[in-house]
Amino acid sequence: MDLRLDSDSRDLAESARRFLADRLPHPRLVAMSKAPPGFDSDLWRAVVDMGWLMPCEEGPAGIEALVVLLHEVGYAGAPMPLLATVRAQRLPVELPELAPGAVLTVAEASTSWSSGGLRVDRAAGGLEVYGGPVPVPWGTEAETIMLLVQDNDGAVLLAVSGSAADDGCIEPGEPFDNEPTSWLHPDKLVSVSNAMPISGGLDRWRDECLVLAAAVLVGTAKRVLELTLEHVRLRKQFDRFLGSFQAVQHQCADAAIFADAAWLTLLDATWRLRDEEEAGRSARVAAVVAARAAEAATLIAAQLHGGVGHIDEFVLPVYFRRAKAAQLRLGPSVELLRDIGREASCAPGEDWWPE
Amino acid sequence: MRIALDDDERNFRATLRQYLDAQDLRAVVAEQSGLAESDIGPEGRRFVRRLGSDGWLGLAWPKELGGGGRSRVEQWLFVEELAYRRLPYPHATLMAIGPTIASIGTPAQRNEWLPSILRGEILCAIGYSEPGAGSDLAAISTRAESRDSAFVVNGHKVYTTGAHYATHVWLAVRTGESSSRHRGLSVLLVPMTTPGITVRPLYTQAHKRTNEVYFDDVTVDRSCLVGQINEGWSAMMMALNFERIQPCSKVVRDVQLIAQVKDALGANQDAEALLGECVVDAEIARLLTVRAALEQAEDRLVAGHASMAKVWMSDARQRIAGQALDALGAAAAYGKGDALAPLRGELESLYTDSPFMRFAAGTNEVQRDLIAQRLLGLPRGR
Repeated sequence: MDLRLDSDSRDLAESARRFLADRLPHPRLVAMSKAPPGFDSDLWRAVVDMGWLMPCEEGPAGIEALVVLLHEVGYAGAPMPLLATVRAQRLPVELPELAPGAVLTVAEASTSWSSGGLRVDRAAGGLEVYGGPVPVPWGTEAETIMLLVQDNDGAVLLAVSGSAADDGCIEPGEPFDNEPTSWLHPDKLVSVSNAMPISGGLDRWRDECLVLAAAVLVGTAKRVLELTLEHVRLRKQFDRFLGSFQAVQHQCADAAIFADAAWLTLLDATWRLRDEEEAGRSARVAAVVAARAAEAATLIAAQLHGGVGHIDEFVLPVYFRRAKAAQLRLGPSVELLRDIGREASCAPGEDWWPE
Repeated sequence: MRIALDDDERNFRATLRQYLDAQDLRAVVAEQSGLAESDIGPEGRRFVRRLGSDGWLGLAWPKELGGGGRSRVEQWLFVEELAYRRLPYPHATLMAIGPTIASIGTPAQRNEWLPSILRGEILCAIGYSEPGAGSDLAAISTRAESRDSAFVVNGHKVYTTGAHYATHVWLAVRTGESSSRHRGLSVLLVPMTTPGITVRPLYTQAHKRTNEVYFDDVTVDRSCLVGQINEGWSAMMMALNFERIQPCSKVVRDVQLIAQVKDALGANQDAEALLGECVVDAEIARLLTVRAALEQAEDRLVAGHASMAKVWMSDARQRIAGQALDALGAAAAYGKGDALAPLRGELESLYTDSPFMRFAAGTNEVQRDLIAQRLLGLPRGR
């Protein structure tokens, strides 16, 4: 038994970390967060050239490499459509022919606040979609938006071309973090002729999405903890280093426990997805813990930095906003918790440890 | 890179389960439910001796010491399985005291004590805490004066669980100057039949027995000194490190207990969310524990990792019990003695016991200090 990454994954993580640190030093991150969030096409091209989208072609085994890379994206606080594109690539359907390195994204009605309003009408022999609007990460930048609609009659995927923005279907939004996010108005879609029914595999896809999003959050938690430790080791008050006060130490210890817990639950879920058909509850547990770890790390960081951490010339607010926004994009945590609780069993002898 | 058990480990666990399934252990489990988790009753002691005679004690001890020569991962699986079934195990004696004697004891001590430990005949109580030395163990004041070929011990130990049936006490004593702190401590393995030892029961708020022990001019032969005089601190700490990594199957059992709350309340979204919280808590406890146990088994324990497991496990078990009681409301205000109490009052028992888990084996505050200073590299306060 082992709970560590192997040397290939460690090498991949190290090279990704060096690359992102080089491309996105903190002053640049801060500057990008003040301007309207945008798409750094040079950065994206470099990421594509390095093959960061390639693990998807390796089948289920690619999940581990993606988790490693997205963890580094979270660590760097990097605004880029890697998670959005990978989510689309891993949908359990054959996607239309696309240019290599195309930015993709998925708009999923069921995770939006307006999920109750979106419905599909198949009665007229065709297919009409009502309701919305639906949040779309990187919707304005995407070449194709995969609109996933699920109702009692099943799941349907609609490919929406990026040019639909011209029809007013896609409206830029103003997210509070540095990940450009748009609104999709399904009722303004002119053509939905390319509807693709999804017959299976959606549960696994959702598990993968949770784990990949968790990876970004865990990276966020780890980086914010490091920034905090650097600060309390150097900052002096009352002629003492902040980090020597027990009250400060205990907050750092709690953030560290949470970050480690998030990393371990992430690994557990990743390896289950790699080795098994279903991740079971582990994907949902990983998502909940990652979100809480990132939130705890940023709240503790804000408290221990005091004023300097609250000023938007500093990098901490970038991470602060990213942690909360990424958590929200997972959907309400209480829904994840209910799913976990619904499956839990009191059957005596149930053997769910310590695999 | 893997997290699952390998074939040898699976086979080992299957054999162990077969062995345990073949026995009627209901009386042992029933007895254990009324005891502190580290305590062992008469039925349990018979069970431990049976484990010894069937070769299940000291699984990871080297064969030349009479042990099983198995891996420490298998040893850990063994401890987890017993805890999961609520069966007793002399954790401190086998996991800490025996290996410490094997490591720093004299040949005579090894010959005399280790075979008896492996047969389940020696059970040790831990004699560390004192009225004036809790978290601060370096303040221990129980004295051992050197006289001729013996020590004369005087002092007062508290929370000495198991002292009323233990064969020996693993006793931390001051042999140096009173101001010598951790540099003046030694460890003696003292037979409990030695004249001058008085054991008095103390009962916890969870109605579980522990003890206080008085030592009045207790003459202990020099041959009972384990390791060098005034160098007992590291031997003492070894026992504490093992205590910090508790079997994670305990919290898994807690969640299975709590799952009955969901059944009691029927289909209910609040109960499902509550149970989801408990599962998340338990999963974190499980993985932090697995990591620390594996690191310890492979002699690569990272400073602070055992503390992380201890903090989360004890905090989580308290949260789990408290939240589940809350979900049940007024009906849950009946304790173990009440025939109608939900879940037989086990939740109340877990909740009432839970503060102990948070302050025992080094308080969670001390653990957070250790994490901050030894793992995160923050400076010590002055």
